[in-house]
Amino acid sequence: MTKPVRLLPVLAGALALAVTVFSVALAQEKPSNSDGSVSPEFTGGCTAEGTITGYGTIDPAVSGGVYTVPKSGSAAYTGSVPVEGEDRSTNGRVEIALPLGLPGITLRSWETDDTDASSHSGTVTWDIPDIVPGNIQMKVDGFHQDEGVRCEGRVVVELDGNGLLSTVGILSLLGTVAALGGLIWASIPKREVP
Amino acid sequence: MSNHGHPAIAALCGLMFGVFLAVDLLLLGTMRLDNALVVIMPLISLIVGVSLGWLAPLKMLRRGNGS
Repeated sequence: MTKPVRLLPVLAGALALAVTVFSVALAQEKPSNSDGSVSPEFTGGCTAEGTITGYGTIDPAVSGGVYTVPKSGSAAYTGSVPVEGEDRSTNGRVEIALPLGLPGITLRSWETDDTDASSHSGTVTWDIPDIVPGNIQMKVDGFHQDEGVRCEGRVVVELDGNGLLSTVGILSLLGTVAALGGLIWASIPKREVP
Repeated sequence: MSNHGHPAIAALCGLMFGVFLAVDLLLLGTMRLDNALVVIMPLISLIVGVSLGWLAPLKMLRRGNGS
């Protein structure tokens, strides 16, 4: 009866780990509204808005998302700061947030020490390879520092396209099953060599 | 019969299981890329894999009360 007794702490430990992990995950997740949208997080008095052709407008002051973004396309953007004056020093960055404080993936950054403008607009285009799966929700953080004013905002975006039904998704599902099979096999005691 | 399974293989399979499971959940849209679980899940699976490979509990279940 010794071996079944050894199994109990393993199961209890696994259960405790599962509860801990999912508690941490739930605590990390930003609460969404009942309609699935995310409340806006935008501070500093700036404006920032982008209109993606065929997909609508992203405005962090109105909604935090979730915004669907195409893998390839273009967007017209405009932004302004509540600051005036000549030869001002400014800097800013937009990045995809990663977990546990890991450095984010910078999408765009800027820095100058002689700007006179209080608004900016333009067009940006992008083309992400088809192999990249869609449906992954990402938090995009951005800030703009202009003299004594700092504007910050964040939105949640997801790439348009298949997630689990993409090539990467199917390979990942197969990998999950294969790894689970290997784990089960490796959990069976070895036969002793006579 | 040995009391142990295959800890090294179980560790590798556990790690890969956690990585693939995290990718599955990301692609399902059930958690975001900045969720701590993306990093924690593979590490927990690695630990669980080593434990399962070391303790080899499945054979014990199959053999019931046998020694």
